[in-house]
Amino acid sequence: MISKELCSLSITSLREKIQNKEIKFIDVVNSVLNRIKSEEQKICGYITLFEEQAIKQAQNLDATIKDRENLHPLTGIPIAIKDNICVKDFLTTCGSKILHNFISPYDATAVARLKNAGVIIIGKTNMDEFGMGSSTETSYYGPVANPIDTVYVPGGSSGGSTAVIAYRGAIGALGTDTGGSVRLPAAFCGVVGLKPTYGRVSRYGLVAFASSLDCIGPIAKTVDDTAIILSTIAGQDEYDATSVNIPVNKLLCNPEAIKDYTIGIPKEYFAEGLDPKVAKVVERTIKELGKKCKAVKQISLPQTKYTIATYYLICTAEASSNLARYDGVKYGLRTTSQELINMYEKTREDGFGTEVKRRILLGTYGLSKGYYEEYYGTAQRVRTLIKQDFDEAFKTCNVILTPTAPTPPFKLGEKISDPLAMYLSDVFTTSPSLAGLPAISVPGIGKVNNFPVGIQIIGPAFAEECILNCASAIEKING
Amino acid sequence: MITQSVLEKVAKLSRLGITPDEIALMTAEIEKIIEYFEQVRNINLENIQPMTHAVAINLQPRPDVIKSTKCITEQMPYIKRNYFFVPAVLE
Repeated sequence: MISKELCSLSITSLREKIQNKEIKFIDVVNSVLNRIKSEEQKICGYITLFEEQAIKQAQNLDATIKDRENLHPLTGIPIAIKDNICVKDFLTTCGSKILHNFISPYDATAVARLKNAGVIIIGKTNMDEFGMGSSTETSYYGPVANPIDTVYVPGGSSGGSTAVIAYRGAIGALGTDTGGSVRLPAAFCGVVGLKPTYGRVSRYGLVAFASSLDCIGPIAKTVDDTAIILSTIAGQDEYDATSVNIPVNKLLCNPEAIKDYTIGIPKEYFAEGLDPKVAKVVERTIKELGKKCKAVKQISLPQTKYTIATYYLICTAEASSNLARYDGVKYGLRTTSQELINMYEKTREDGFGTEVKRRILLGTYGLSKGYYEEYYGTAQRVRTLIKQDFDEAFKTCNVILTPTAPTPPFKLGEKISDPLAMYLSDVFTTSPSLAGLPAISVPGIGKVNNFPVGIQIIGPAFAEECILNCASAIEKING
Repeated sequence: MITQSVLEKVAKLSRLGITPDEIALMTAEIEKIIEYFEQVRNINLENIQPMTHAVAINLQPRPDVIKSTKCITEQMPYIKRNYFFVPAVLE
């Protein structure tokens, strides 16, 4: 029975068993590896697995650690890392052919902090190529299936990280979120995923997609576990000048704290496009939460209808600039040619997949002479309005509650040939990204077609504790 | 209006090789997406400043000190006296 196996326990439960010497570190690693062996073939959640190193590290911890009382909560915990975050001496492919041979020469700061805590890195997870996708179908290494029902997508772009947590092939994971890439797959796979405030977690060692939006975020089975990973990786870093010098307290989730919270419900999120069955679960969650909090009130975020256009104008422009570095000269794939320009063009033609090419073209078009002000400049101004909406809303509420996605998971292949329909999957997650705010997705109260429904809680900048408390309250009601 | 020739020009600017089939397919898709993007141009943005970063940040400089280059040079395929060899990029 999977539920009785160590791989199905939370970080907090495993910590207790390790401290009480009920289990060894190697027992946890073996349990996770066994699960990977039985599930991975049908899910395709990992690009690289660190089996040998993980076993060795666990054996080493068992042999050397005598005092188990004062361990970091993550010591010996198997964590998976999305394959656009550098882990020294291992491949970092970003799900792309163009980086099929790129070995990270250093650790990302988030990874270095996990390693300092004694984490066992179990592998690098599959993802939409360079994070561009909402279904994890654009990876050069094959699409990822949803472990709840393998006919369906896991959401994207961190679908590998959320799928391995869902099938118990890791205890925790790191994903990255540019416009919803942690929250959407967390919702589709029935796990917890958090996008921190922009600047809260260093981006050093995260391969850039859209630099003004990219964030590294934790994914886990429980809200508490998500908080533990976040407190370990957060904090200022001299290697990322945009990381913020705000102290990170040890984040403890207190579901009772919501008794003092007013929860804002934006009316624009419950309009056309929201699946009625999803709406029902969200409404039930609001009703139950309403019994525990100070007040629930309707709020307005008037620019909501412009967020997808604004987000995709900004992220494609930034992506076209960031991805210019993949030219066959410095690293990654090189398709040789006698002529220099031809070498650039051929390398990029061979190395990039369709969605990446589409976004490079869109971004270059939006930044080109005569269009820059019309598209990119305009989108940056609308972004200001979107942030002002949130500033206004947070004058009257502590957190904002919305659905994470407008629909339940869709089938593999269903939207892959309609890029605009795919982009609209991000309709509820892109606005907090544009405003740089923290947001978490947690399974709501009820299911649709056997799939949990993700509830998104958005907080003011650096109020991660508030969204964790609120998510924890939903988790507690859910049992 | 996005035409095949506009897209071919954009692909050239992006140094992106693209097949005629891909151009044909993407022209229609990108036209549809750009049409969707057009809606932001109808908003009144008078006196609204562009937002370049999500959080007001005072960029923190750090000393520009080389710690080690070994980890970079180690994985370059062709190295001589600490220089790594790349295709000629100046013509």
